[in-house]
Amino acid sequence: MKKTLCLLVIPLLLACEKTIKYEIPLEPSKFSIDARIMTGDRLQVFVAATEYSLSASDPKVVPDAQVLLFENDVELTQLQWISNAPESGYYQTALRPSEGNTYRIEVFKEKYGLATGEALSLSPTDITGWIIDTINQEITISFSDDGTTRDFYSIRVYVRQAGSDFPLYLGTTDPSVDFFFDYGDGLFGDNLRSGYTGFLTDETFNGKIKTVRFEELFYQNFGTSLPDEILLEVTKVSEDLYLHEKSKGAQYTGADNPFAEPVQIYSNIDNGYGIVAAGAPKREIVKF
Amino acid sequence: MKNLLAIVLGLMTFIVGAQSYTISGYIEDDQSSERIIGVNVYAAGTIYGASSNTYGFYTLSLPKGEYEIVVSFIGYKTLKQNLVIKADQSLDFQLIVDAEQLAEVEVVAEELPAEQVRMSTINLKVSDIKKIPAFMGEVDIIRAIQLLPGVQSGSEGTTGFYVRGGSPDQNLILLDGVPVYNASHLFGFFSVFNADAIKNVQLTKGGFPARYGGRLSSVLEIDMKEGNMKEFHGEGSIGLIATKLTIEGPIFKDKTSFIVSGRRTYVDLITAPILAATDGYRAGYYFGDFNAKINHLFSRKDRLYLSYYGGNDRFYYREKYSSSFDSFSQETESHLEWGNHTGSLRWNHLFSNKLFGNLNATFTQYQFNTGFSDRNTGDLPDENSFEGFEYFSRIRDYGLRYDFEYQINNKHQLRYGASYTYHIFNPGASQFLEEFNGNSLDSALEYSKPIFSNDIFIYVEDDYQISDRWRANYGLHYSTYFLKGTQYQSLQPRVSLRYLLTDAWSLKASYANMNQFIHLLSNTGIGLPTDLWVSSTAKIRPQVSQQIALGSTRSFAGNEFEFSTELYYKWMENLIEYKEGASFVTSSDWENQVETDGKGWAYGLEVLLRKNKGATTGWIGYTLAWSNRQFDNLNYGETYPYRYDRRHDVSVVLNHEFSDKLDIGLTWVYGSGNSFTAPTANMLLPSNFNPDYPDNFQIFSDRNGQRMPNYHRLDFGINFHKKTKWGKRTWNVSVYNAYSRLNPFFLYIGEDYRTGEKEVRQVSLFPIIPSIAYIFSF
Repeated sequence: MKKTLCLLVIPLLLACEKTIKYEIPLEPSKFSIDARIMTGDRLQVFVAATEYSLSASDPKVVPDAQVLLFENDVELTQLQWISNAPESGYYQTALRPSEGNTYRIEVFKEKYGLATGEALSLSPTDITGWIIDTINQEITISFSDDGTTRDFYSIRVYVRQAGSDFPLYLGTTDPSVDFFFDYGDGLFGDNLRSGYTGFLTDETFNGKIKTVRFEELFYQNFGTSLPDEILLEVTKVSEDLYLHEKSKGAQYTGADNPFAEPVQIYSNIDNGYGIVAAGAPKREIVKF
Repeated sequence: MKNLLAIVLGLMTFIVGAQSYTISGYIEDDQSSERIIGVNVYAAGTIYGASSNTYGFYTLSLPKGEYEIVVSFIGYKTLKQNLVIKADQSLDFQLIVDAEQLAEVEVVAEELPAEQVRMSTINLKVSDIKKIPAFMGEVDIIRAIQLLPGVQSGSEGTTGFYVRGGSPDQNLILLDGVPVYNASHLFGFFSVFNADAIKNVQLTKGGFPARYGGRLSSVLEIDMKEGNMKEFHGEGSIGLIATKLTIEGPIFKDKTSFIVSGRRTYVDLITAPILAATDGYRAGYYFGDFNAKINHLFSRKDRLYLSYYGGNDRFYYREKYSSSFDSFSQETESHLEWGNHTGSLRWNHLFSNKLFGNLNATFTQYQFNTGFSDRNTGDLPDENSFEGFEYFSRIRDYGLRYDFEYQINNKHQLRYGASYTYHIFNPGASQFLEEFNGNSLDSALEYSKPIFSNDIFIYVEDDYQISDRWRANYGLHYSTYFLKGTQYQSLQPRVSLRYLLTDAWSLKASYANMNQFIHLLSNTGIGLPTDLWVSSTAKIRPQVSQQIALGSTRSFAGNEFEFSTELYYKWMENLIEYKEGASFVTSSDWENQVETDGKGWAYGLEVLLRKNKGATTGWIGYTLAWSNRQFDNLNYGETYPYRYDRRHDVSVVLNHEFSDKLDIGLTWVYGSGNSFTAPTANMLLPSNFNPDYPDNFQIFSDRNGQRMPNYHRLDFGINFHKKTKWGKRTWNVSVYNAYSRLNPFFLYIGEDYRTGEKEVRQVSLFPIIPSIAYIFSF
């Protein structure tokens, strides 16, 4: 398809090009934040700073910001920068969010000002069943949905080998599953969508048990080499997180397509960009 | 709805009550017997008058008495005939070309613009369009349309047009009454209409009479020539990029005539020998058109027209590599093709002096396909492989339409009719194949299921001469659209009013409710062949618009000048737009790739000053306009400017005839910069694949929140005419973009690799482009 696109833009090769003085509105540097309030998990917050699009510099992580965690408007702790991974931009705390509380993240540095975002922590759903078919390389997961709320979910499956977790590349024809980052690029055809993280809304299964069947596409051939363990993870996520991931995926997917519409990444940060969003993971380990 | 029908039936009863006699007939060119559209027929000294329709037919009702009937049309000698009216009668006219007057013609004005009840409608004769400076020597009808107020061009050099803030799919383009779905050649740089085969062009921007339907923003009617009934003639041209030839003449004199016209570009033919010298490499591009029409006169009451248009664009690339060391070879092939086919069979029948009918059976198809293949062959097993991809989309219509015109009396002319169209949509199918050593590694077929739909409408409208000063055109258009499991219907009232302040000065107002059942999915708006036509479905509702317009038209200085202004306000619902990040590449699942239920608002002021007579003719048009859109899931639900929201648009078109051997043409256009969405900053966020490593993402301005630099351009053309023994020849020299203004096509952020500084770069398509063409007629 890229060849086709190249054909379409051939007239442009004949075009004249010049540098012009054009004032793209100066966008002062602000924080870009990614904080996932995962019920029961240790909290990590990613902090970086934006760069004006005409700046010669690339955006960078910010290792010396003040990152505070509030629970129901009460300051809990200041997160510490993870100094052993200087490029990662993560701050962390040993505190683990509990369900039903409002958590606020405040990030401050003189140069960028104060950026804030908050999320209401969630309670996990139940994984009600699963089937691991190692012959046909299929994984089926069932989970329950709360009929009183509008819910969003993400699903990932890992193999656990020698103490490390590796995400499986999954595919499904289930129309209720979206892979916002589909690295298959239509390669598998037959309307099979694929990726590492499947996202769902409960539009079609509100209040019911939802069963999703995945094919394992890349990583492991179960028939010849069984992993030590399989980790199934169904996470109830907030709408903010769902929209944020969806817009990130859309921008990523369209990045190489000259005809794709520009995508604004969904953000819920005051005086900054990114997301403070909630999730409640439910995990099941299947041993072999 | 019952109330509306009661009102209409009541009016009809009232209308039929009046008494008068009717004269009717056809108006033809004396030399070719070609029927003439829009001829003014009136009784001198009275308010009674009529215009000939698309088939040259007129009806005029008069009270009993003695009249001087005047038949006039610019470019022809005016005919006058005294007539005693005491019964219905048939009366045909043959108009004689007035060579002196024809030389002065610029823009057609059948009756004084102030007298017409219809507003927002402009006629252009092809002979006038041919005087406008040509781009690369190719006269283009759509480019001429773009110069009218209220009509905007899209990006630089393209032939897409935008009427009163609407999108390109909201323009109904009819060639001999058949819809043309993609009017672009060469990625939109030329339109599909070969001017040599065209007789008349009419654009309606608002105040739509009830006979029109199916689109929200405009109707562009293009009529092909019929063919000379008396003798053979031909015309053609040889330009820088294309050659054209048109032949017309009688098959049976005064009974049957034909016209055939062909056009082909020849860049590929010129470059083929050069490329042939490059071992194993072939590439080329061409487009071509073929128009043909036959018409047969069975009797004064019956006439049959059969017309066809076929056009195609093809881009191809082939490369073959053969190893000089072994038997290994590699063949790569890419192609890109798109084109239209249209056909119509029309039967005119005169039921009586008062009732004229036209039955039109139509066919139209637009198809696009592209693909590539890569084949490796060799002696070694792992040297044999194949990879291929094909993509295809198509829309095809079969239609039947019957229109009637009934002259009730001297105050009412009724039009009514019905239409049925069967649409077949194939929005997109793609196939991927991969083989290795003769074994299929992977094959994938992805397609959208075809959609079959039925599109039906009926209409009735009355042209009512209320009094000396007041005239109205009002009517109803009812349409229904159904496909499997879904049906839509709508009743659309239309009304136009005219009040004459003086004989040459009128005020006008109109209201039109329009409905559109088909949609165009477009990413770029520049008329790429990848744009997809799709149907309304249960999920995608029909587009709806309402438009009101107010205007004033005045002729002065002996009708040499015309000045008109129009204010319009149009609001639209159920618009669709690609979702953020989506494009045709992912269109197999198109219903899930679009945002629905969008709203749009367009409003503005149009001003036109036109000079119709004299050695110098032309017009100055100005448009002040706003066009906005709103979708719940785009731009955070906030209203944003439409891609081609253009605040100011100016066009100046001038022609001056020094003698019958020399004339010049000049156009200057100015437009505020198009809106676009600019990346304002970059940011890091955790990667989806591995959160430990961040990815770079962009932050954008508000959707379409930035403006490109303003657009302006001057074109210049000069024609040297000479009569020869065999006919006439013209040398045309044109200069496109005479002061070589580098206008923006698109902007992007690039990097100066020497300094590392980022900068905004503008890509422009055309600097100054001179061209020359040799035009001949015999």
